[in-house]
Amino acid sequence: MSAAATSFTVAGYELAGDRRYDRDRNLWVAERGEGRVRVGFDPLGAETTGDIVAISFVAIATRLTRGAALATVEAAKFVGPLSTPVGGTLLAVNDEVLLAPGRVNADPFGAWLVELGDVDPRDLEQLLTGEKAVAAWFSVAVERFRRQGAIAE
Amino acid sequence: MTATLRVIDAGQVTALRSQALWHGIADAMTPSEDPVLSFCRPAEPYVCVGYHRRLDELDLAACDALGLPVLRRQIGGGPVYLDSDQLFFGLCLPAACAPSSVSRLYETLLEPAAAALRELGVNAHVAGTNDLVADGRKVSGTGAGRIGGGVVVVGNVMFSFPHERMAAVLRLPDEDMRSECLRLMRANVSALPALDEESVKNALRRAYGSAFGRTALPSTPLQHEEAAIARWERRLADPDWTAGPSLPSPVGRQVKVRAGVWVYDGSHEDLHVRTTVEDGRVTVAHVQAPDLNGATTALARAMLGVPAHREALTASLAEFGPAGARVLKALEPGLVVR
Repeated sequence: MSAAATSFTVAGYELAGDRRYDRDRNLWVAERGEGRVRVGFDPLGAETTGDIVAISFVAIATRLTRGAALATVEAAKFVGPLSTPVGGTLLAVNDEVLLAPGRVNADPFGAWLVELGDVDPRDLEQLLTGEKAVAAWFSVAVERFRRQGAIAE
Repeated sequence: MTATLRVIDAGQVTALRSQALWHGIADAMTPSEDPVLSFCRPAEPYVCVGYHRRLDELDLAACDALGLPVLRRQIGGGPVYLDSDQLFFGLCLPAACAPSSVSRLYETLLEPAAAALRELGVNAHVAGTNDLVADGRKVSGTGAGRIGGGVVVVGNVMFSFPHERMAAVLRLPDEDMRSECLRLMRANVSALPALDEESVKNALRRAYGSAFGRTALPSTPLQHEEAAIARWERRLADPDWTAGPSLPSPVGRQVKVRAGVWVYDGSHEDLHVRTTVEDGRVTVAHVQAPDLNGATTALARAMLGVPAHREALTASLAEFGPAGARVLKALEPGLVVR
């Protein structure tokens, strides 16, 4: 796993201990100081999205509120919006992911998608953090996806 | 009261409306609405590209010469030639009711289409996530997306298909690649001329009604759906929309014909490689490199019959050392199939 100072395993998935998690969108948020964050898919989000072949992003400097469309993602000829887990201004997109979107599936924690600035700290508080809380949520999410047949047993 | 599946049969419509219809129905969908099965046939031919495909995949001069407008859809997949010999079907349901992974979505929403074709005597099944295939040939192209409040899966049933026109509208490096694409299209994409439109629509109504446990009832677009369809007609006609999102230039040129079948033309530095993959294995390979004269034939031969995966090709090219690694580098982008 890339870019994770600490990690822990839940239901067979390795999770980074230094991130916050959006329980509805299966995204991670990494704080980088001075109101900046990076955003990426957690392993469950990457797996259920499928093999990603293309991503396009909203324009740099776009101001986004929590839940607004940040990108459009394509996997297996399915195209859908990706909404931001926190409000902020789009500062940068990961060019490596633009060129090779499959990196998200291969290394969800290493393949960050975007960097946001001027992030609303109240939005960060909505996200899960800490091994105990994250593990409790993630194990339930894995079980739900398995029951739905969305991921392998 | 029995749950219903609304069936909107728009009949023959303009090219623009044949796309706007199901975009608008999906966009307008609210969480509590019944699913909608829509049908239409475009009155005139056109070319349609998937949301994340660059317009330079098309020979726009050829499209123009053939009188083919180009439209961009907000679902996935590559360029397709569409005309009045194709029936479009679209199944739309509230996003919250859609299966939670893409693979499950296609399983759930395409299997009824395969069942409908089987009822009509076509040996159809879902292959490679989202192709409808019968006797090894693709009989329906499909794509899907989340648009507004709805998730939509769209497919076509081809009563005839002009393979030559499809090959003619693609922008390709040379005519050899066009010939190879045409050969693969003829071998792997098939129309269903024995079927008639009404039988197909009736079978799809029954299959989707049964799969969803709902009664299929004729319907027309509601007011909010009509407004959304009109909005999508304007959007799809907008040149800025047709230009598409900003996307990086592709490294090589890939044309996928059906699941497991594609052609790739790529280069790395001064090494050029072209491969055809059929049923997941390399069946044709050419390698050109000025400094490898004498070895290029052996390099190409080493790929024949090998599964089109990085690991398998790495193993088969390993004996050639750095030359094999260069071939792999040129070929690698073409192993990600779109």
